Amino acid sequence: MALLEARGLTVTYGGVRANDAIDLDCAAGALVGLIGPNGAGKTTFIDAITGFTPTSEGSVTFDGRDITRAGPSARARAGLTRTFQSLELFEDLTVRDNLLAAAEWPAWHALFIDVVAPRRRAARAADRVDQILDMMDLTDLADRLPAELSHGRRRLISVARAFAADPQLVLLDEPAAGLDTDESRALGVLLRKVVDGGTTLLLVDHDMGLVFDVCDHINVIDFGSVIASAPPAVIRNDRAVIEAYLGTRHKEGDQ
Amino acid sequence: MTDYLFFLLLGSAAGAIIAGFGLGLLITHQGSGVVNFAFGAMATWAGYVYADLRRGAYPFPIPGLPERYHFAQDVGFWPAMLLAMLTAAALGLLVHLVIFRPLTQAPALANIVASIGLVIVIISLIDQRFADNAGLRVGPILPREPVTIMADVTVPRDGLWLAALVIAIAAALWVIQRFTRLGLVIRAAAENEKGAVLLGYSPALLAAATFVGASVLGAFIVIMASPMIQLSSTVFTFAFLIPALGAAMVGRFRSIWPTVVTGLAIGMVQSSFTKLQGDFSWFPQYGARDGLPFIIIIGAMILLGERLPDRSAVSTWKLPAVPAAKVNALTVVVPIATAAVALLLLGPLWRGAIMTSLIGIVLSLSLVVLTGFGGQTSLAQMAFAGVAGFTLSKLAIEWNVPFPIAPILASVVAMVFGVIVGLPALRVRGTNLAIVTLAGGVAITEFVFKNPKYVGDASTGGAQIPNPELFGWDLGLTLGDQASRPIFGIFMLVIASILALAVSNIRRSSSGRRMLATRSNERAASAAGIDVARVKLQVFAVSSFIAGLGGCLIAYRFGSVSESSFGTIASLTVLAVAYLGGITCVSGAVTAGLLATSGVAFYGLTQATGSVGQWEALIGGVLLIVMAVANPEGIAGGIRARLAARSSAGVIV
Repeated sequence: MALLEARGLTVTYGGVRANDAIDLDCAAGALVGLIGPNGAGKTTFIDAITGFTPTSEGSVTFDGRDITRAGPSARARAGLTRTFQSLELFEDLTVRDNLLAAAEWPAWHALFIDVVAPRRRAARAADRVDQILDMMDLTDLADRLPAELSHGRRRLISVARAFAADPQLVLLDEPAAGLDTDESRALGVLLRKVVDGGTTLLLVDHDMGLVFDVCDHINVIDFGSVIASAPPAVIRNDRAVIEAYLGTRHKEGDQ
Repeated sequence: MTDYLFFLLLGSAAGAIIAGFGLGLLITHQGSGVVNFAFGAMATWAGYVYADLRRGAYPFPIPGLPERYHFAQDVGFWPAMLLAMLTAAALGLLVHLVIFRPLTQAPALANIVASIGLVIVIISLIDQRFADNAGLRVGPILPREPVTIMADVTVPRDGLWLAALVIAIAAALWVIQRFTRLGLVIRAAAENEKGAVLLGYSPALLAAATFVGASVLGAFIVIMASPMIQLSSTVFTFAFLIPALGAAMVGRFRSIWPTVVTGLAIGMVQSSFTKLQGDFSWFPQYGARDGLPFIIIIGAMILLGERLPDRSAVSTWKLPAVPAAKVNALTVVVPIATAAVALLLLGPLWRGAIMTSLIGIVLSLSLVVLTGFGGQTSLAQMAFAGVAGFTLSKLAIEWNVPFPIAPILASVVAMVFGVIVGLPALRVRGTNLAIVTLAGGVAITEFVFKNPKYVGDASTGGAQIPNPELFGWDLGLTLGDQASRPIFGIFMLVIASILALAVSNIRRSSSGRRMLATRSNERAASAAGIDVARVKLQVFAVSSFIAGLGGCLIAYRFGSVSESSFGTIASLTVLAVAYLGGITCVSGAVTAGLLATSGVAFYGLTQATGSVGQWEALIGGVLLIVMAVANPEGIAGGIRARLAARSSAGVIV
């Protein structure tokens, strides 16, 4: 049984079926790609899986539990986190606090202790945040505000925040958008490292080099439906995919 | 049943006023994006101008100038109407140019603060220029002779006329909105200002036009209603404004007919409450009228509100930046020691000013948690404070609960009220939340504070409060023949210091991080596993608890509690002053406390310049406006920004 199983997942906006009966699995420990042209329904799929948009039909099972009706924060606490295309950083918090806010889930009554002893924090969360900062080469910037950083760094922070709580599955919505070739390659290496550490990833991106390099398995969607699901080598030669999506650019790029 | 019809029809005048005000709020919002909390106050001034002209005088609103220009006699209906309308138009234009236009890009809260300043200015002007308010009777304008609708139902005709006028105005506005290019452009500008620019219209001009139009409309309604409803500085300012906000909300500040229908319905249903109170013993004698708009507003929110803002709405409610808390000897010991020495050595008047400032600090701290950390708004802080004050009296006098326990329990009760008023925050945010809490605060004021069952008999000084006493040691302000005992000041200082430390501890803790994360970005916060609903209720709980303690300090200081200390204007002023001091940090709360009316800064000013006496409230209001326009992010924020600009030019890494 896969870690994440979407079955017949359908999302409608008015009369438009943005996601139409999508079946998609993420096997534990895999790096799964999700690609498709603009407007194919990739972000809608991430929104539906993470509870940000209601599904009209179908079910989402995560780690053996049906989470179709759970709210976004409950899904996050169950180990399912995401990044946003538009980053959505906590602009009022430093880089470290951005990660800490996502890493610690104190009980509601922790407030009473915080009033007296503010610096007490869960050592596990703090250690984990330090590790991630170190792994992503952000330690030097830990005490800066996001607004002071470049676009590439801000994108890294949004990815780092999604990893902060040691989740089982992270859905990455275009983490490489706006990164230059070197940054994109470095991100690929990093994602592989994370997957090898045991975290499952679903990667949505338009950088085909990145997706085909790092993914173990790729799903292609178009007009809200899955049109192919196979390892990269197969997708690369899938006629339907080439015609529907990759088109001539892919051929030129590869030759 | 005909009795009910009678009361419903009798309420048509009130309904028409509410509907008309709702339209005015709608127009202003469509043209400028501003919810003008001073709309009722502006219209009231024009109403007074008309009334004054009918007795042969034109009032000047500027202190120092002659109070009025005297005509020989009543100038007559049309000249008075014309002059009053021109005054309203000029006021609308002035308010737009001087206050709201400079604040176009400022945080929405700065707009609210400026409009609160404007309300305070206008109310104090009215109180100064029309001190003999009771003598101001306005002769009939609309036909009055009773009309018999059916057997047993005979009502004065003027209320129905007013309703008809408002419906006609609504129809005209609807035609403009639907079928003219101007209406189209205004609707387009409300959706997207840049779009209007591309169509070749200046948003500033549109905003100015809608401010003038709305101001004239409000003035017209107040003048037409003034023969039916005795003018006063508060009736149109709040009593009709709040239901009008509710009506405009049902129309989502853009649909004319839902606004008008809701407005008329509120007025008519409120009127029938008089009958219900007579017929049914269980019907609440107090607060039902003001509870109704609150319930309607909440209902509108639940039906129309969104749980999480969508992609485009994230940044519309900007708030000032939050500095890191700096807790060290310089920031903690020095201010506390200075205050302690001043309390012990200075005379009773200075001591009184310091005590006022300490109360101001506590109340501002409650808003630092709520707004500064949590990103929520409350225009009901003094209502929470008042709940604690009255509860304290009950606990201490009737049930003999001893000192430290009674105020804490009383503040817990305030906290419960705070959470209830804060519940709508789970679905609404920003200016809409400000409206909900304003209505909630007024409902509490009417339902609890005016009810003799809870507050005792006002003629005997209201609810009594015994002195705080710890281990047999009396901490009260007065004891026997001793007045203004410094020990009470020290007691307040200790409470304020503990709360200040607690608030800065919250800022530095994991709870504070989650509050700031929620304030920064609710979508991202819930994606990060933060239970946004819980955090919001938490900040409302903490904030209203602190406000409750502030209310207890007020109660201890005066030895009794009465409704007048905890009114709506007090709630508005507390938010405005806290915002200007700097709503995101403890040092801002201290600044706010020092700036509070009758606090240290004010007392120092009166000492330095001689008495400002009767104009104190007006000067306070003008200062609020000036400071809001000059420092839209608060004084502390402004200073920080200037320091940051000097030290480095924001290096991007």
